[in-house]
Amino acid sequence: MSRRLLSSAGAFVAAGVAVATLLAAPAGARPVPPVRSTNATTPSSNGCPPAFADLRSRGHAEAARRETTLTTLSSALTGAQDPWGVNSGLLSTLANAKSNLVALDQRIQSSCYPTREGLRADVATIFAGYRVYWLRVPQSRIVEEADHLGVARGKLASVAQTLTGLVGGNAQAQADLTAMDHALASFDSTLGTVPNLTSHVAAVPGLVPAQDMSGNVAAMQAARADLKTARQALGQAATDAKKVVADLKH
Amino acid sequence: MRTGLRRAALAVAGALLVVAAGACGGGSGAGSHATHGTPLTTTSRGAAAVPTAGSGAHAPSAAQAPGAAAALSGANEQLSSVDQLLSQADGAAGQTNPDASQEGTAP
Repeated sequence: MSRRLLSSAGAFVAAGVAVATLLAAPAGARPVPPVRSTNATTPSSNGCPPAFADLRSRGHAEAARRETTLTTLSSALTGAQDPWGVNSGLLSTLANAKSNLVALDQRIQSSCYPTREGLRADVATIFAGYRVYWLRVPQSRIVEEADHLGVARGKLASVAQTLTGLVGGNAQAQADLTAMDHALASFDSTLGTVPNLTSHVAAVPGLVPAQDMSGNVAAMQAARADLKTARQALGQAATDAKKVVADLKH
Repeated sequence: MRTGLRRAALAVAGALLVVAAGACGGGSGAGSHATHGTPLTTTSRGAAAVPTAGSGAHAPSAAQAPGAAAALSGANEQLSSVDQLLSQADGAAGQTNPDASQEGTAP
């Protein structure tokens, strides 16, 4: 009972204060409706910039990061020789991805999006539509590694040819040269004979971004396994070649 | 008369020495060849050429054949280059793992 009385009294006092405030305020200073906020989460009436500034900013940062990465990949691939003849197609793909990302970023920064969801869909394309880190980075590096190995294979062929003319009757040198030839043959059966790329690596330059990346990942893992075997074979061939040189100096 | 004969004998002996020296072929340096008007052949590294096979008393083995030292040196240079390429391949191999984590999460 007393609690109800106290509550009623409180409400009466509050109403009185509100009325007094209204009466005391000058006519021109009447409270105005809240101004529409232009902060990050509230859209302008038509969804034009600066509406959704947080999403636009995120989109720009992610696009710029990917553009930088694509430039780095292109530079590395351009610096590598192209013994297998697969670089130009991939370089073109990387260049297209970069220019499309630039265009998408510009659209995200300048377009009007009636809903936040519309903008969110465009920003999501930066991730799933390009797969720069999930696909383009490993894809380019796999090709780059194959390039370096292919060039090294060519040099080792030249070395083997030179050593063949020098071993003469040196039995140890002959044995080491035979081992070198076997290692080179192992490389060829794993990756292919330059310039014919015939291993799992051959499929890598043609991989494209996908929503479900499991197929791409499997293809790249198989290519990595081939490259690992080929790398070991070339390392062995180089070691054998050094042994032959040492044999001939004795 | 006796003095004249001695001088003639000395002259003949000297001439024989010169002829003998020429027959040995010299080959100890550019100067000796230059005096004979024969250009000295050199390897691409500027070293004096190895004597022609068969000119000496011992037949050289394959590794001692003309140009062998230069060929071995060239092979060594190629092998150094191979080592660099393998190192570059290893560097690229470090980034071949298809890892989604760097992709980040779309908003």
